[in-house]
Amino acid sequence: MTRALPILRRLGALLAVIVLSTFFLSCLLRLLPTDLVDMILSMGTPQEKAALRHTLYLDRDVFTSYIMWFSHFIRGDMGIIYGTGGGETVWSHVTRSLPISLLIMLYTQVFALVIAVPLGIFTAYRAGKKSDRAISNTLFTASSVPNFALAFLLIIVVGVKLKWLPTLEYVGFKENPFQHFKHLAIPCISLGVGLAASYTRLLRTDVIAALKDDYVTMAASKGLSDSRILLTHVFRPASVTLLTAAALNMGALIGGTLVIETIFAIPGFGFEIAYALGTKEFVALQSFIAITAIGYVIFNVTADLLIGVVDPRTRGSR
Amino acid sequence: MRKIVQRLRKYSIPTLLSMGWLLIIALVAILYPLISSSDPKTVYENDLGVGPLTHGHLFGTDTNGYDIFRELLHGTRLTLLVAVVAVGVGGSVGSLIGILSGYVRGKIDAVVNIIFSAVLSIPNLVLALALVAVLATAPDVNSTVSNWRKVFVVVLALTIVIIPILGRIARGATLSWSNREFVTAARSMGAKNSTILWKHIVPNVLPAVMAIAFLAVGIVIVAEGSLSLLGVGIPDGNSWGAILSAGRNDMEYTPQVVYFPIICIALTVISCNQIGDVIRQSLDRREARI
Repeated sequence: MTRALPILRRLGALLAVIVLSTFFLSCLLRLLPTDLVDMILSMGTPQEKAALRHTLYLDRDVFTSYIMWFSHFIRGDMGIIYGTGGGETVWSHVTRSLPISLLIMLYTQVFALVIAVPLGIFTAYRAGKKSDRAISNTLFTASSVPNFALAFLLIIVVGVKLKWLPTLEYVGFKENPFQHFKHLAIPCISLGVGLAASYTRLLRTDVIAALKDDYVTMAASKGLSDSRILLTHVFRPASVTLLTAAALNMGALIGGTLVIETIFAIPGFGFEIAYALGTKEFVALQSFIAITAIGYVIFNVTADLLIGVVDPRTRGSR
Repeated sequence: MRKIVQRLRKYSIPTLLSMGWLLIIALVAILYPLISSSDPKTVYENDLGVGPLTHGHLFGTDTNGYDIFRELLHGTRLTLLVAVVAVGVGGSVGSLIGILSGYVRGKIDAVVNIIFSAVLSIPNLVLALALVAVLATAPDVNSTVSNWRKVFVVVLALTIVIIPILGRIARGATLSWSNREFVTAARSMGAKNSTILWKHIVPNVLPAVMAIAFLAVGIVIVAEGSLSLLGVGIPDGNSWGAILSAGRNDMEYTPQVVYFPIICIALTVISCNQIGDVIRQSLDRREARI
């Protein structure tokens, strides 16, 4: 019970945050300077408008309409896309585009880790030396370059000038795995470099701190091999920081994916959001943004719980 | 003069370069009416899309015949205005809420904290998009929104994004500082709450907020550029992001129209992060001494 309690409390807070942020979005929609119904059905008869008002719960007060919206939303009933004549549901757009964005974020994280782990350990080993200082300074700069800036640079140099990689459109993994990775290479690299840089910096600090710790000296004096020490004694505490960093950077990654998808015309979730924005599909937009917020919150809480698993010391105090 | 040189010596070269760059763009933004007399939208019909350093165009022209250097000078104004206003206003409001709620504690603090968490649970670019989408909608289906209103909406949205970011920093710092011995001592001597806040809490909390405020300027500039790329930012090439977004369709033919804005944006963000980092480090050192 003592172990379950903090988890339960965390889940309670999670639910509160989810409800509050989606409610906030609901209220935002009410703030629209124009009538949503008039916007969707500008030519409709009064009866049609009244019916639509009813289906969008706009004839109720804010709280009731929010509760009705949310109870449908969690069942996947998010209304329809009005611009296409009402044929397509919002949910179908979500199921089509969300996996693509999740894949991009997954590849980006993998790319960032593949770069960050060896680089972080290397710079920590050579802490204070010239090579460490050069790499660390470069990384600090790299972590502040906006991802769209990097994307344009790569498009011009790698895509247009050298013609090594395609810079537009998306190919599914099932259609052609090779082309799939080729098309996602520049988007994921431009998203991942900044992430890799911030991971490396954190990992470096952690590894340096861990190497100075008594238990590492102890392990070394026991005669454990370097790789064993690195994996079990140094890497485990460092992975806590990585998880925290991943959670902290998730928001920026979601925002970045949005922009990158628009730049590269990848039909992911960000593209859907941009499209809904451009065509003023507010009904769909509300659900899209709610999904983003919920995903982000769940990711953060999962990272928090995983940290508790990896580092038992934090369980009680946090 | 000598004193200034001596004071500057203790900073590293990247820090000095960052300060220099921020100083230059700040001067450009403030003195723009004195620097440039002509309209940035002058069309050079004979020099459509020429490269940098041709026919007196320092950064070349775009396919419309606009001089990119002039456009960038002009765009500096609105870019910085958006960043400074959003961080200034958002930071002040956020700090006020954060300091008060961290000082009062109890139920009010719990409510403020959960509201901050709820707003922060929406990734900041997504939140800005939602706000812009709602606020920049014309009241009437057939009317369009004026450019000034678009700018105002972008500023307002980014301000709202900044409030919880800096508010949470201020709240955290207040929570830890208000537990210090000197605050307890002041209280036991009968100091009023307002005195404690002004004399003991605010001077200690503000530097922490300042360090993050520089990062926040970076966040705002990137967000402004992103909003432009998504088509809902500042219109008509009036900011760096807007120039970038207007030029990106022609980047195969005139890459300079993409290069120079992204260099300006990247340099500014890097500089802000660098200076924020320096402030944070000096704070950590002070912290370690106390």
